[in-house]
Formats: sequence, C-alpha cells, structure tokens
Amino acid sequence: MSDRERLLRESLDRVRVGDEAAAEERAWRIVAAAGAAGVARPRRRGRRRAVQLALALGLIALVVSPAGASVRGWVADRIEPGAPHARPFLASLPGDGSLLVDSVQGPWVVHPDGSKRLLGDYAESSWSPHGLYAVVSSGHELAAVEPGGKVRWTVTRPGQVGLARWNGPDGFRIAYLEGDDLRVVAGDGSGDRRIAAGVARVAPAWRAGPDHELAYVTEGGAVVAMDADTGRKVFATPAMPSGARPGHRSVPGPSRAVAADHLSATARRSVVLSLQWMGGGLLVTGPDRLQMLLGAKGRPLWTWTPPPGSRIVAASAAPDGGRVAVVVRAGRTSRVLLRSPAGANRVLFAGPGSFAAPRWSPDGRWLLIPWRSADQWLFLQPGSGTAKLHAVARVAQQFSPGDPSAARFPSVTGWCCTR
Amino acid sequence: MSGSGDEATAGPESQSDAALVRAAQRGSEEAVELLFRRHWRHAHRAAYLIVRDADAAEDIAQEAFLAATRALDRFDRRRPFRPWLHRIVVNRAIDHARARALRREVGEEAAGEPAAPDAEDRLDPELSAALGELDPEQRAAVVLRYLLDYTPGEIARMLKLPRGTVNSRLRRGLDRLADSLEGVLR
Repeated sequence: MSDRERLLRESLDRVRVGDEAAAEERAWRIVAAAGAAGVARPRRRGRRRAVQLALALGLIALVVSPAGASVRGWVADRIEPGAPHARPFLASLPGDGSLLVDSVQGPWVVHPDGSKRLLGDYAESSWSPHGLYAVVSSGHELAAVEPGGKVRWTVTRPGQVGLARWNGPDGFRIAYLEGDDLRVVAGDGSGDRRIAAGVARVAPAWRAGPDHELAYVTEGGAVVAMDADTGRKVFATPAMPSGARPGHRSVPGPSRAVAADHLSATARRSVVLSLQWMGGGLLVTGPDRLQMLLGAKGRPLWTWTPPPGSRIVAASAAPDGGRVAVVVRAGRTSRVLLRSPAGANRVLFAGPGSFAAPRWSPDGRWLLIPWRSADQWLFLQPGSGTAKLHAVARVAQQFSPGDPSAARFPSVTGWCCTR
Repeated sequence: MSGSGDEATAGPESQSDAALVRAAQRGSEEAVELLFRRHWRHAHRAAYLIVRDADAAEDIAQEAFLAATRALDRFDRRRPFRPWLHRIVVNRAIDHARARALRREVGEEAAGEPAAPDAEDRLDPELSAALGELDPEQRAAVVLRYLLDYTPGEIARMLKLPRGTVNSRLRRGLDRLADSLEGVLR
C-alpha cells in the first residue's frame, strides 16, 4: 500500500459523523421496534394464535363490560330536519381564526371575513401551532407555506409523504409519514430524519408542551408515545382490537380520504382512526371505541363504545380539553354527540347521510360539522341550551371555482388561531 | 457494572457473524442487536462519506439495517453478512446521492421556527471538499477500499462491476484526493 493510500485510510478512520452514539441509539430503537413488530423474526404460528385468542377474549370482555352495557341506555334519537335555510355562500366565519380546507384544487385558507386563498397544488395541509404557516404535502414533497401562499422551504423525499403535523406550542418540529416510516423535520426544514418504521396511516399527534412527545399508531395497531428527540419510548399499548369487524383492518374514514389517495400502498390501514392529546391524556378514536389513555403510562382512563349497529366516524376534542365531539353513523343516519368531561353524551345534531370530522373554533365556542351528504357546513354553538346553528350550502362548488363539474366536498383540516 | 472485556471474550459478543445470523434467524433479539452494534458505526460512516449529509447518512444506514433484518429470514448463511450489509448501504447511498443531484432539497429561505442543531462534521475540511468533487460511484469505491478494507476484487463483486472499472475508479479517486492528502500530511 502506498503512502497516499495509507494516509487516506488513516484519514477516513478518523471520520466521525456528529453525535454517533445518539444516532446509533436512534437507529437501534427503530430496528428493534421493527423486529418487535415481527419483521426481523420468523413468524411463529402458535404465538400468533395466542395473540388472536387474546384479541377475541378482549372483544368478549368489551361486549360484556359495564362500559358496553351502559351503551344500551344510549340517548334516544333526535332527528333534526337538517338546515333548509342554509346560506348559499360562506360570508364569514362565526368565530375567530382561519380555516384550512383541503380541496381537489389544493388547500385553501379561509379567513374570518370569508375570503379565501388557495395555497397551491398540494394534497394535504395542517396549521402550524400559531397559524403563521401551514405544512403542506403532495406526492414526494413536504413544504411550509405562509397563509399568503409564499413557500418558505420544501423537503423532497423518495417516497410518498403526507399526514404532516406541526408540534405546539414551540413549533420546532413537524412529524409526517413517508410510506410506513414516521419522520420528523425541524420547523425550518432542517434535520429531517426517520424516527420510527412500520407506522400505520394515521396522523401522528404531538403532545402540547416543551418535550416534543409524539404519539403514533403502528402497523400492528398499537399506540406508541415517544420522545421524538431522543427516541425514548414513553408508552406502547397492545394492539387495539377491531371489535366491530374482527380481522378486518380496512376502516375508511372520510377525514382521511385525501391521505388515502396519495400515501404509499404499503402503509396499511389501521383500526385507529385518529389520535389527539387532550388534557393529560391521549384520545384514541377507533370505529368501535373512543378511549382515553393516561399520558404517563398509556393505561385506559375511560372507554366509550357506540351502540350496536353503529360506528364512530370521527372525534374531535375541544380546545379546553374537556369536551369531545363524536360523529357516529348508524345505518343511513349520522349523529354528532357531545361528550362532557363527566362522561355524559348529548346529541347535538342528527341527519341523514354522512358527516366528516368536526372542527372546533379556536375559542371552543363553535363547532363546524361538515355535512358531506348535504354539501353543507354546519356551524353549531354547543354551549347554549338550544344549539345556535348557521349553515352554509354549496360547499363543494365554493372550493372548486371555475370548474363546478370537478367539485368534490372538501375536507376541513384545521381552525386556527385566536390572536 | 456489566459487559467487561473478559466476559465479552466468552460471551455472545465473540461469536462470528455467521453464528449471530443463525441465532437471529431462530428469533434471537440479542443476536440482532449484536449484529447491529458490530456493524452500525462503519455502515453509518460509509453512508456519510458517500452522501456527505449526516441526516441522510443516518437514514440510509437505518434503512439498510431495516432491509437487512427484514431479509434475514431468507439470508443464505453460506454468504458473509458484512459485505451483504455494506452492499445495501453503499448502493442506497449511491442512489441517494444521484437522486439528490436531480431533486430540489430545501427552499430559498428558512422559516422563522428554529432548527434542531446540525450534526457535527469532523471530516477534515480539505478531504471533505476533495471527496465532494468525486462522483458518488468513485466515492463508493474509495470508501469500500479505504474505510471498509475490501479488496478491488471484492468491491467488483459487491457492486457488480468489472474489476478494471473498480481499479480505475480507485486510481482516479486517489489522484483527485492527492492534493488534499498532501495538505493533511503537512
């Protein structure tokens, strides 16, 4: 070997890549987690059968449990006639803050005065914690854009990206999915890296606070909370059983229709529809249950199951962290329930057809219910005795200007923020 | 305190890769971890030297280990594990470096939200700059030869290239690095 070669070898031997120990630990957690999910080890049928048996027993326990029994006393139907006098266009929002709305043309920002701005040709969007930016995605690209449409940065990945969520309150991190990988990028677009593999197609959820704690759902249906900076696992639940349809993992949710269109086909659907932190816990919404997990250990604090013959479509926690609006579908009818902190359910609204995920106004005074079948948005004020209601009609057309034939009912992704 | 050197000589750490692969195929998580710990550092550094981006290198090395562990069931135990893993790492790093040249990576201005601290790059700046002037395939050949200690024949088999091509990449790579190496010498 020549001197030059020897010198090169010594130089390359001295190379260090930043904090190698931290990178190694992060990587090992991911590889180990993938192994725990069954990808590194040969499948063991006996073990799998035991898991299936445990799931079946869990399902039986659920049906005969007091929580299941209480469902029989569920609030009687109160079918409202709908909203016959809906306004033909959105003149203004009833509350403070701006909406972010995903349409076939791309995401729109809807200001309190009803004016709208198209952010660009993106499939999905989500607000930054203070509404200063939106994180948008389409195909291989993730971008931060200002509400005026100016692009601040982009990150391009080899795989299909989506379901991006910005943490709060500091806004230092954005979590998103690339295929079945969970990745995190800093708020300025730097430091993009994978933090988990084998993740289900459910939007990750940041816990509000300085610790950058993130919850996600694995392909196996378990809910995991972790410190996104260190990779430390806070808790991991067993897989959430699909009580409504055992063994059936495909649960389409209207609010995820856009994501389902463009995320990798390798990412499997989950029995969990959404995750949302509220108060000290994590609200896990599935078609057959609404469950609050304690933030420290992930143990269930309470579980609510819908009545037989119905399924949960979506749930949204109010900004005050106490109330939850739940959309339940039974046959051809949908209902919006309001679950109080004490656990009582009240029917806010019912109507034929389907409702998409409700959205709370930033001050928690208003609830937007997208009524897909009626092509209407309903703005309800759930706090008052007789719920005040504003309705807006022809929603699809309003978010497809110039091309009404291509109009599709848009998806409201956020309502932010009180300044 | 655990894991002293004496214990290590008698423990599973002293097992060959082949033995660890066998144990991993039987479902031993410990064997998977030992394989990972044994090979991570070089895989990570090799990826870094080819792509010259710490975050991407971490990603590539992670991805390679994930791919390797996923394929472990089907891995032919008669083959050595190390070159198999390094081939995955190097090919992914070359793909990434090529793709990055074609893609827009980060936009014009950074948004106002603060960033995570950048990874520290301890590569000699002159050598780093000189490596940057090589194309990814040349960098890969240099890394395989001078960081990972493969012979030109082994490199040719790993990258499925004629041996002459590997020799010429190494020679040209060394020539282009010569000035910076002189700088390191001084």
